[in-house]
Amino acid sequence: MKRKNKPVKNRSLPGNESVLRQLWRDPMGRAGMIGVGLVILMAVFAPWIAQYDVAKMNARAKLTGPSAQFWFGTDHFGRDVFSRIVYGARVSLEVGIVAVGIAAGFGYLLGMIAGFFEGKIETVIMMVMDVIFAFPSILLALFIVSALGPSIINTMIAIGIVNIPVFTRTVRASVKTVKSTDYIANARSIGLKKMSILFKHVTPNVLAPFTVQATLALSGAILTEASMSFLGLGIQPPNPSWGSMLSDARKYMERAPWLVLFPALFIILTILSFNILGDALRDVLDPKLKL
Amino acid sequence: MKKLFALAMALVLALTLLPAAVAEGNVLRYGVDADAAGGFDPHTISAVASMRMIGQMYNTLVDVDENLNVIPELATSWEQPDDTTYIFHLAENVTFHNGRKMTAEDVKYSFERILDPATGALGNSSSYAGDIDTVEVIDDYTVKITLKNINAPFLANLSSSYCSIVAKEVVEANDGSLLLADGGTGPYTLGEWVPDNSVTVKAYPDYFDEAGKATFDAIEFYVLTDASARLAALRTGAVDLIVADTAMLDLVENDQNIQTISYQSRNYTGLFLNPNRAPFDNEKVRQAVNLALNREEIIEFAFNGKALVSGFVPASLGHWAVDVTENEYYTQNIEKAKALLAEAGYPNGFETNIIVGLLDSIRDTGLVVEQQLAEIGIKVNVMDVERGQYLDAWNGHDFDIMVCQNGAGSDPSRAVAFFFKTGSSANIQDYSNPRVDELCELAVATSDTAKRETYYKEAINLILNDCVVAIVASPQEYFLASTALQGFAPNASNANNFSGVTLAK
Repeated sequence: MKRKNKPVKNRSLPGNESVLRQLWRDPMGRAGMIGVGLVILMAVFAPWIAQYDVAKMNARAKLTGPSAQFWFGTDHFGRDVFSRIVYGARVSLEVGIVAVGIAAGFGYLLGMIAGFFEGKIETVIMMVMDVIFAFPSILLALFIVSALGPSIINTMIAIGIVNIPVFTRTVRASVKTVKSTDYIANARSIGLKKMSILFKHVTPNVLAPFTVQATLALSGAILTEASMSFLGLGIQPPNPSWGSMLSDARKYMERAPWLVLFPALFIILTILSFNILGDALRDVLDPKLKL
Repeated sequence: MKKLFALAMALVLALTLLPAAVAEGNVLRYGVDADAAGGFDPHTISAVASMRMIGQMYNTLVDVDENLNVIPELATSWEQPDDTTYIFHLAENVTFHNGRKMTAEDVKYSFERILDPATGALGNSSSYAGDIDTVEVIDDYTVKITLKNINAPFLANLSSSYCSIVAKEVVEANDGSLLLADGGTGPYTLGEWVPDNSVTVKAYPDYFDEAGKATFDAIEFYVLTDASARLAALRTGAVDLIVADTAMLDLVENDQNIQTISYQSRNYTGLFLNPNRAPFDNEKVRQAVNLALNREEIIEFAFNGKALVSGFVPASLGHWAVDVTENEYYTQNIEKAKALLAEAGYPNGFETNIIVGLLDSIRDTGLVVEQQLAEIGIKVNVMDVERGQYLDAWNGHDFDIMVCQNGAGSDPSRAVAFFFKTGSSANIQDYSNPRVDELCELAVATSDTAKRETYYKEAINLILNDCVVAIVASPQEYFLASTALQGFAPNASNANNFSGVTLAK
């Protein structure tokens, strides 16, 4: 009986090393990993990569095009666009990770409870999730930020709340599947406590879809932050966010197209990288797709 | 690249501006930056965007020219038997847009409507018609207005659209509101309002004044909030005239088909410090903030250099303005500012919030100020808030520093008393200086211009030296137009005066 438990575990969640190696072997996975890796490096080493202070204005270098001195040109305050893009990566990742952390944390707990205990509590949880899910996510996030006031923390909270239902649903579905397997029935029959079953035996088996969902949600969160900052309800100036940089650039689009080009390019590439990575991760982790 | 952009935007516009493409006849198409707010009741609407149409639809008893001289409008002449009595002689051929003749009864009704608290009229304050005691009809075309007290700028203030003459029957037929009705006598009548898209005003053929008669069959105002979209619309010929942003001026410099038209506004932008909140309750801190600013640099960044260093009575108010460049707090002096902060007990500076919003120039001013105040150790958190929160901060007097753009009006009774007299509705700082109050009262109670000038200038200097404000600039306003547009000469008194304006075919 006990032997049956282990192979199941291994099948859904192979060792970390092997997942990474499998990802690397897949061309799409490799592209995603490189893209995401670059963004992370940019964010972590921002102070070393950026040559200029992101808020420092320079009247003599207003709206100058890309050059050896300013790689991505300067904006209407004479601020270096490259430095702002680099620090913008930091903002994007920070918001993305914290927001997804909030969403994943609550989503996991709620999904576990709903899927494992079922009954009334499941109905209530899923009803609340459906209500949140019914709102267009950007609208709900804007509503939350309007109520709390625009700041980086509130942006994270808002995006986090918006993303809770996706995680709850994913986890709940996996829990329900796992629950009906023999080894859970066996664990019950030998009298293990519910909590122990939940954390020791169910959790490892929902981690795979959960990880995939988290990767995909990251790209969604980064995009939502960009949209909110574009609308002026996200990151507050003078802190650079790719979204607010785009918004500021609208007025100068014709005279200084690089102000639009670079933030847009980085938003696109970052989102693309996370999505590709998420898809590749799903391919690697989902045993059914391997057949 | 540029052509591609222009083409793409033209395409978008071609779709949004379809009605413009099919408009026929002699029509002026005007690209504006905001939709009419709420409607077109001249007595209750203050939004600049609505004023553009209200100005075409309504008349006032008198007008002011660009040099602030009072000139006739509905009243052909007037006399002032004593300091508080005005007798107006009305033009006899004025008709409302419903065809009825305008008489002295309508003037009486209009001021009664303004003074009735139930109307919620903006003119019901002593800066406009609020000091009126009685309005008497002497005959059909003569009306006598008596004031409760002397109010020297009264005549000039009657030129505000807040004091428009309206038709009683139109007000009554629309449940007391002119928001969506037209009870005016102006050269144009209200046509169609398609919210968020366009407003049309149509020529009124029986306008009383030949010189001011409509020169277009209609004026169509197109709402194009994005500056780039407005410029694209002008370039492609979808509109003839646009409200311009200083950021786009360089782009049309060499364009043979586009002309630039500008005037010096009576608006000013600057910092309002809250003198009832620490640390700005300390005069030295306020002085330090003023001394830390480099106003020329703010103008360069926030107004693309198209503004004048100004106080709260801008140079466009002529003899009323004081030369702020002579004020000791207008020249940047970082060392002195730091020393003042240290004396005030903040040798290492402090942290504070600055509220910005509404306009790009307000936001950009806030961002430059953040950098400049950092030089003396003040850490500023810029709070870019949305319209509703911005207005809440204004109405609730809830801020440390707020960047505002105000209109100075045509007389210091607004520029000084309205914003700085104790208890005045626009005194958002709850500023109170007994001598300033006294000077404001003295200045309103006399009609001797020289004396009023002395009083106001003393008050202006007192406020500037109290450093409760750090006013930066008075912006230049810009229009861009097709070269076919002729005779358009906007000024700060009347920025949307289309009388005599034509489009060459």
